[in-house]
Amino acid sequence: MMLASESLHGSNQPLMIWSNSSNRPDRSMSREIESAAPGRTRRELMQLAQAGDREAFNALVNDIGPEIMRFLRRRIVDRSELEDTCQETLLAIYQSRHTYQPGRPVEPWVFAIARYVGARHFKTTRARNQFQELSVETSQQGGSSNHGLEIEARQALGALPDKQREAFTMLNIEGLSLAEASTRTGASIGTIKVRAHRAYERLKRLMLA
Amino acid sequence: MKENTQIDQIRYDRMLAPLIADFKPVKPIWTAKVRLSMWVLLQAGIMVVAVAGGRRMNVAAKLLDWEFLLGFSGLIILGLAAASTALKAAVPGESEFSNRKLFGLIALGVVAQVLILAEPVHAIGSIHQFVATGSYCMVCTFLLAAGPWAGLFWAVRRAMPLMGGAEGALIGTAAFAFSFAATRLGCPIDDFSHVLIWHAFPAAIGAGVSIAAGALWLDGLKRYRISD
Repeated sequence: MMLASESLHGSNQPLMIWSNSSNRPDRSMSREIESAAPGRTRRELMQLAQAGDREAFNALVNDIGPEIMRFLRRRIVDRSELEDTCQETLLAIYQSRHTYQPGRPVEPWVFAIARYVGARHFKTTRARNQFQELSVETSQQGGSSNHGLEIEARQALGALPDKQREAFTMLNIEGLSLAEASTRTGASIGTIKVRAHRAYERLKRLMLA
Repeated sequence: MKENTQIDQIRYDRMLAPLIADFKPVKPIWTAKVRLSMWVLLQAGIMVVAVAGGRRMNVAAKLLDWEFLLGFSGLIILGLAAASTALKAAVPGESEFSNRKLFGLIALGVVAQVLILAEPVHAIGSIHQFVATGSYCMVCTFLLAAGPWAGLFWAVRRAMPLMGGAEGALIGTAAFAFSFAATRLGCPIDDFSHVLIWHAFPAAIGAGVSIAAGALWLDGLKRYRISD
């Protein structure tokens, strides 16, 4: 699976939108998108996408993508997390395209999805931050006994079910993004989030007990 | 400024391309109004069955009792409002599920319950009879709610519900409010204890189970997996 960050920074293809004619290296791709896009409104593009027109969907995504990114940027500071969340939003838009009511404005539909994906991201981030705060709090309570704390943390981590420990370690210790953890384990992003959250809750109980 | 330029220059279709295996046409879901109308037709049929198959002989006279009529109407309105909200909230951008709507529905539910429960209190003669007649009403409450609940659950799941538990609560409220109203119309026992234990409690339990079912199976975003 190619990650958002890879598609933005790791690809050999220059990443320019189709309308930027002065910097258009991939002519075949540009032609594909242009064939569906000119003179079409977002509503029409969405209706074409519902009818199975991939080019129309690509054109729509490229058109509305920057607005989604700016919308999410107000809520998410980290660039890599922002791109992952944007990718997740685009995927949710693709998978729920049957829920768009033809003839209606596209924007309220798109941004309602973006808002929920962003809110879910916020919830996960908050849980992660709470754990970090908890770690600091516990280390302060432990005073100079950092070694004891480390042993306690290792024991608590060891007491977790394998999948929860794996998800927690990848996200909070190795610092992987959700998409990276998802790729590595083969589980969905949602599953990784749930596992990491459950691990966090269990760790909190174990360490504060 | 620089970041805005970067954002504008991203190829978003390429960001998405690895996640889309095959791009197929999809059939847009019916509007919330159409789906609600079909559900109401189903409920109307069930109401007719409940009255025709019920043991109450004085349906017309009972409907002239203003407290019963208000309570009955309250349950129907509650069911309609909950079903409509559930269907609309499952379509992104259609209608947000707000706290104001939630409190409105709860208030309506409480008023309807109080009115429909305003029945005389009779002494329970035989526990065996109380349980036997009550169990029948309880089973009817669940049976009459089962079809509409499944139908509404499917209709909501077919869209994109974003708050599973809340959607489940709305679906349960809608199905069991109608079922409660239908069984009250068909049941000849006008007794507070009977109505509370064998009609109101099962409806509340059904709605509670629906919340759990919604939380488990109705979070639209959970279903969207990023495949390798």
